[in-house]
Amino acid sequence: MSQPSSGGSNIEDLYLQSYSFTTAAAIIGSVDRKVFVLLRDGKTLFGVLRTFDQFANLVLHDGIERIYLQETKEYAESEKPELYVIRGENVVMVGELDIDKEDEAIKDYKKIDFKKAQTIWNEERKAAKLEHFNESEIFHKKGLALPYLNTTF
Amino acid sequence: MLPIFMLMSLKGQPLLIELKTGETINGTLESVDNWMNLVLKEAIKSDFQGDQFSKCDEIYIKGTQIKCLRLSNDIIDKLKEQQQQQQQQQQRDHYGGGYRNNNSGNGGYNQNRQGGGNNRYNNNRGGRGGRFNGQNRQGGYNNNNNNGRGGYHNRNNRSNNNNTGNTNANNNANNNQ
Repeated sequence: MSQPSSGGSNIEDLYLQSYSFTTAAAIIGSVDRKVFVLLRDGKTLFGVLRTFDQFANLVLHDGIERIYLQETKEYAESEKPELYVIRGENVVMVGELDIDKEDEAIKDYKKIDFKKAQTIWNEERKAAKLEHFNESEIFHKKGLALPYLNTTF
Repeated sequence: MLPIFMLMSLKGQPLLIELKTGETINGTLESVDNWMNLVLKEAIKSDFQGDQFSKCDEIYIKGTQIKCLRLSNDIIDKLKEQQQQQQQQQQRDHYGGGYRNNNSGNGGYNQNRQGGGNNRYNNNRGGRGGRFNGQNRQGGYNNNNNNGRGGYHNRNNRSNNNNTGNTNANNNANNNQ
């Protein structure tokens, strides 16, 4: 990876050569492509990645939030696409989407109203948080510790 | 263009801030700084549940507490126009400049690196923009621009194409020195 194989053909290699930081540099391959972003609070955003920086602050064009409800096989999308500027510390992962296969995941899912889906999803998260809390109590009584729930919800 | 600099050019725009706590603040952007601390005017703060809490004339938000910002989608088109105008201005002003001619100097490793890349490829390929041109990525709105190259990221590529005669002459001259 320190030297490009042939001049100009492996473009990503050339970029990595010149970047002094390597962690966020990998995002450069996804610019101007449709990506999905997973945030620390569990939200999944979809949009076209326009720009980023070394902290992985992202700018997403035509961004929508999609909520998946696994139990009832339903999903919901926010109505209007917006320009998202996401602070990098809240990003768990960024992934490039294959536009052809994009809709396969929600093939069997039924689309429902976004506000309703939001309330259901919030309830699920609250329940999961409570469950984690209760489990930690049990562990603590025995003198053990559960791993820290590092999510912002 | 880096995200923070993009924010700086969005002063006066209405936007929605979502904090890490889930609270949302609507307001018009008054100022930004390098740490993403914001001052909003005419702000309305609400809890995630939707119960409106309070309205303030002016609110200062610490950057570390922000989760994300949401703005209207059309802003990007306005921004691109602004940038194009700025660049044309700078091309005219810096015509006599050297290697750095293409780097308008607005922060960011991205642009400088592409400036370097551009100059390299320009000489080899007879003056077209560099890598991104070859890949021919078609962003949605980019089709109006030259060959569907990316927006902010490829700002310098674009400018090279627009003033092909001028900048390539400059580049060739500089590299021959």
